[in-house]
Amino acid sequence: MPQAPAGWYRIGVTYTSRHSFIPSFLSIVGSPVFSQMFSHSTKETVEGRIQIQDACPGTVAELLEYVYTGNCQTLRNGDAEAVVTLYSLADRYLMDDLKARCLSVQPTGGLTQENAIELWGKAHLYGLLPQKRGNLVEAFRKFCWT
Amino acid sequence: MPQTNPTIITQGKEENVDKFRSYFLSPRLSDVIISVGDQEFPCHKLLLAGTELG
Repeated sequence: MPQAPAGWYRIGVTYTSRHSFIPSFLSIVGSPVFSQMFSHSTKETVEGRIQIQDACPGTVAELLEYVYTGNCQTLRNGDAEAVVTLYSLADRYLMDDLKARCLSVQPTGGLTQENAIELWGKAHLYGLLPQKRGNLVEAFRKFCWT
Repeated sequence: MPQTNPTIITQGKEENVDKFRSYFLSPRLSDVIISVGDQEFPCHKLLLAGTELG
């Protein structure tokens, strides 16, 4: 796979038999929150700057990687804590496709006896439990209740 | 085990994915900056808004 020049963004492009190409950002991703923001003369649009509060830069970078490529390291690695945090940010920006991807992650690590209860609480706070279904939620259930 | 091609849903129809490719976008073309704490990410409105913009 070719490497991106330093500082440049890689854009995932999917080719199908019917369409010549579908940039990932035109098919599935993006945020209605950003869309609304850019559709009006908001402070963010005028200044060209969006300030994200109460989020870790690493999680925002993951969300942006997903926006640009349709995938990100957190989804690939399956670290439970990182996935829960990414889910909360996706929920804030109404990115349903990313939320669904988070729910489908089969956690491969990051869930320990020390952080399980804290993560369970976070998952409840973000609306991830108890109504949602998916590999991530099932992993929580198994870990916390068995 | 038989291998199946990945699929993608576009316009309500499921299609086989033939291949993936990567292209690159320069941050010099960015039209919005996302800042988190002391970190800044030069971004592109078109991508952030996805299909919703316009």
